Amino acid sequence: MGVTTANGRFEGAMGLPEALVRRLRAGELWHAVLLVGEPSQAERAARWLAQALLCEAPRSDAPCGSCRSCAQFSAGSHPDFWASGEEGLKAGDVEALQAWLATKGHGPRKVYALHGADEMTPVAANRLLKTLEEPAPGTYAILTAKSRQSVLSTLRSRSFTCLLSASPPFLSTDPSSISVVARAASAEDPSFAGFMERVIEWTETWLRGGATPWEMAASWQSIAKDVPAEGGLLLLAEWLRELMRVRAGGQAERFANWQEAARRIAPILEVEQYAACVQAVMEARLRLQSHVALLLNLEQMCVRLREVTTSW
Amino acid sequence: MEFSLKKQALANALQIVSKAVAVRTPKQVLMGILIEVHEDEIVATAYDLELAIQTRVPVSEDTGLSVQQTGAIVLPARYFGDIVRKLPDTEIHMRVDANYMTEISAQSVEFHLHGIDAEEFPELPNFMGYEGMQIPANTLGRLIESTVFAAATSEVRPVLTGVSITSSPTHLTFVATDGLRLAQHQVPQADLPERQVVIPAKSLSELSKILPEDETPVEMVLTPSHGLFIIGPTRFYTRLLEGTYPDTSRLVPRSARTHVVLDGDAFLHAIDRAALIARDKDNHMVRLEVTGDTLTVTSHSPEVGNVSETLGALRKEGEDLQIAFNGRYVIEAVRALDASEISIRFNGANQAFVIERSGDPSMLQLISPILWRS
Repeated sequence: MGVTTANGRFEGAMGLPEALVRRLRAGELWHAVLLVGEPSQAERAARWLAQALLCEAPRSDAPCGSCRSCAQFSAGSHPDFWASGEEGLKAGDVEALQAWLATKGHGPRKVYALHGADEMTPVAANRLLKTLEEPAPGTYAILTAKSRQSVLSTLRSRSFTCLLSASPPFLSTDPSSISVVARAASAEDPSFAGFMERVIEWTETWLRGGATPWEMAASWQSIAKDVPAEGGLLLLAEWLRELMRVRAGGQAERFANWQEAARRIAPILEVEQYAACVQAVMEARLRLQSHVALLLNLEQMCVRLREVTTSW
Repeated sequence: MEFSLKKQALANALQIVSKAVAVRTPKQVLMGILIEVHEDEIVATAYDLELAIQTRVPVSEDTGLSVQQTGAIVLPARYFGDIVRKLPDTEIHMRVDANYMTEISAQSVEFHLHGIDAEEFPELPNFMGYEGMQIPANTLGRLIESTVFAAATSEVRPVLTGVSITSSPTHLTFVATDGLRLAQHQVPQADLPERQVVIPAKSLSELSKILPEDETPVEMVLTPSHGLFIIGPTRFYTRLLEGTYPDTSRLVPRSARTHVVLDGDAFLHAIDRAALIARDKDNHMVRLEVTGDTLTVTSHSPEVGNVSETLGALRKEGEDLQIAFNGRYVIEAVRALDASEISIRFNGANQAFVIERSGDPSMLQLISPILWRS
């Protein structure tokens, strides 16, 4: 049985809200669910939910993982599960889905997952409306998106939105950061040119206590003015993870070009402090999606960072 | 897993099942063919999750099959099929090593192909406990050919992309319609269980390609979600379509204001010629004028030119008429009837007309006219 945590989430249910998991267990899940969260987390949650819906031996800790349906699901060959959107969602994908939906399922339920509903082409999104609006009995739609606001309002209104709880940021590297780190390391990307050096300088200033949080926030806004706000914070979080790894005795892997700087800075804080700092940066990144002034958000982040460095 | 058999036996089996291999899918295992080796036979299966074809090659002199070790493997259909086809025409030996590496050899040629664990291959639907019905292969083939072309190709109404199959204790009826035309074929067949299902037209087209053109009995089993056709050693599985098929029985007019009987081939050729001028954007419009015992088929296009042809009716009853229709629909309908004499029943220029074999109401084609100003 999944355990309810203090924030009302079920552990083992990929950060899905308790209300959704309770409905799932009661067999009363909504016909269309929009999962909003980090792409990799939302995809894992969508797969978990689909597997639980299709599981032949639904128990309190469904999916059971051992029934025929779960075995087929794990092998990626479940006949009643459809997923698309890993490479973007176009009208053709929606048409293929509709053709699949027109056929009868092997079992009593059919589930489809569409990833990146916030990046669908408008034509694809509009084609999907009718399908979402008039679901066949036993058919469940799971849409995933990074940002709720970016999803077409007509799609939002036809599905039930569930915000996924952010996974603890220090547990694993965020896959979406891979491209950002690659851009920072590449000398060819003009917007990221010299950005990493400025980030290192900014980190050293902060860790050595040479500036107030307000100055730090203004300084970050200035050095990150040419890069997307989310990308900049994601890179900062990754850089702090790297410092944490070096502090724990590991090698700088993802920022190999800045190995020396990482070795110089890493000993300043403890591993736990770096973990708390990563969390503070990731929270600031999440706040970018709400209506908070950028500078205010950065100031809050810098206050948290300062607390971590001074109060531990 | 280890066995050897004649190349032709394996190539035939692969050719039969390859029609059900998935073409575009991220699931690698669906792009493969499952080979299961039992002590007395090998079973080849392909399944794209909508359509499955499974065929058996038994141990016999004809197949030259000899099994050394049982087992199962999934091999990529594209490479496996090509490899077997291009091997020398002798005995083929296959063996699976560790890590699913499969050796395929004949004479001095030796291929090694990466396979996939057979456990990953999806299970075929279960038909236990459902009653089947027997139909001769040529009858089934004829039922499919005479209806499947009339199914819709657009997904606007998904259920119309299928062929409705209804079995009653005395008759088996196939109906397909795309909303503008309807094809219906009914054959007497005794001792059938009562069923009504809709099978995707695509699946039936594939089935017709593997049906023998003789009276080989085909066992048809229909469940609420799937259809199974057993043709000798081959099993053909298909999903059914969701939704209720429209009641088409009231669409067919019983009476006629104009009834014409004419030579099937002559009419087909006349429409075929007229359709050369008819353009796509005008719905391949061909006009027909019935005056007395004479039929005039015309077609014109401002850019291309025009054509006119006169035919004599064998019999004609009722009033004269001028009507326009989609030439392609009529060509396909008359071809499906495959009759020396056809009968056409009209109910004015604005009503759908019925084409049948003269004196044989078992098969009918209903076509909506194109409305036009004379």
